[in-house]
Amino acid sequence: MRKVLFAEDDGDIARILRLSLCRDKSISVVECSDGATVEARALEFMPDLILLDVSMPVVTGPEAFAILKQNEQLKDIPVVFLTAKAMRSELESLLSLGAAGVIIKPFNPIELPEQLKMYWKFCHV
Amino acid sequence: MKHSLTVVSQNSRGSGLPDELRSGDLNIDQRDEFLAMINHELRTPLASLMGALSLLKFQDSAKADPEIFELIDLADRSGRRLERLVDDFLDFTQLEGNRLFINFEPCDLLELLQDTVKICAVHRSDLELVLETKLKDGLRLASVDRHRFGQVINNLLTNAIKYSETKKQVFIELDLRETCGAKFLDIKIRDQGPGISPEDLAKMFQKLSPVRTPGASTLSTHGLGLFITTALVKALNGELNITSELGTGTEITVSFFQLHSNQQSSAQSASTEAATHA
Repeated sequence: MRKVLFAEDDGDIARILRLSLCRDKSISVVECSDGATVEARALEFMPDLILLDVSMPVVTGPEAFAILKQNEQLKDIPVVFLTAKAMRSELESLLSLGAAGVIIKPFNPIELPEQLKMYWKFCHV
Repeated sequence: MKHSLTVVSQNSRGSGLPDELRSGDLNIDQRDEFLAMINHELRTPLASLMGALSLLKFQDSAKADPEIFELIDLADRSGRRLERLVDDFLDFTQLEGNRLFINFEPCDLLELLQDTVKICAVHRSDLELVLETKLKDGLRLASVDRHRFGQVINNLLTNAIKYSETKKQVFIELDLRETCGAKFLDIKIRDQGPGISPEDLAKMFQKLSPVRTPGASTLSTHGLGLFITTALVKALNGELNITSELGTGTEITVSFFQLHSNQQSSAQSASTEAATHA
């Protein structure tokens, strides 16, 4: 069973993410609705992959990413950003942080579980 | 009578964006921030809508009722149209700002073309898409931007399909040509559609100039598609030629100049500006 933690503040998108990932019985899902609680949830759940929305209030996706990378227990967990912006400058800057990947909204919820598995596999080669 | 047009480049400076976004009232960073915000605001509800529809299509209860499935499919297709419009808007603004990111990498061209043809074929099962290649196996690997190359072929093929009547054929040919020691990759797309008049041919590559053909589907008629396609071809070191005859069909050839690897980095930062020649 692979464990995925996602952080998404938009309730509708969070619901789509949950429905999408729960379609795959080999994935267990934990979620939080802001960047501020990602570290605590990750320590509790120890996911195989973290999916972070970029535009979250209070603590943004990139800020939450920085917090995770400073934590010895969490720093090696691959992080994939989820963003609706899709501007060249933003994509480049997200990848330069050291993210495993970036998924652009709108994403295909049918293909998302396999897409995340590919990132997971790639990060563990 | 056949009419031809060669588009070697295209002027990307012109009307298209609100004046305040070009006149200097906003600097480049502010403009990028504004565009990023608009893009974000459009994509977020679109992501919920498209996600919900995709999941709904896979529900057994939806599959069991043809009428419900048809309505979901209709909403899904309209959503994808909207998604494409948002993508085109983003590409357009990046082309306007000359900030399009081109990433040359080695690709198997035939495989890339086959994938694109498969995707396009899904939309019109009543047509025959014929893919022919004159490339030898060893020449299938070329240096292109995989995403943008696919986008160009997809846009041109979608147009050819859109304007074709049922049971007609659309031909796609792939060839490597050598002229004066330079290598060019040619992709030719030929349809048996109604053809294009000389008047429409002259204006169809200008931005926001949709050409409306009776009987064609209403997909993507905002007039940005061919403008973006032409600019992308130019950014990929290419040239686009179009020949059309009313009542017979249209043939579009895109030719990409094949660079050596040490020339690619400078090409990546090359301007995407261009000017239209008829």
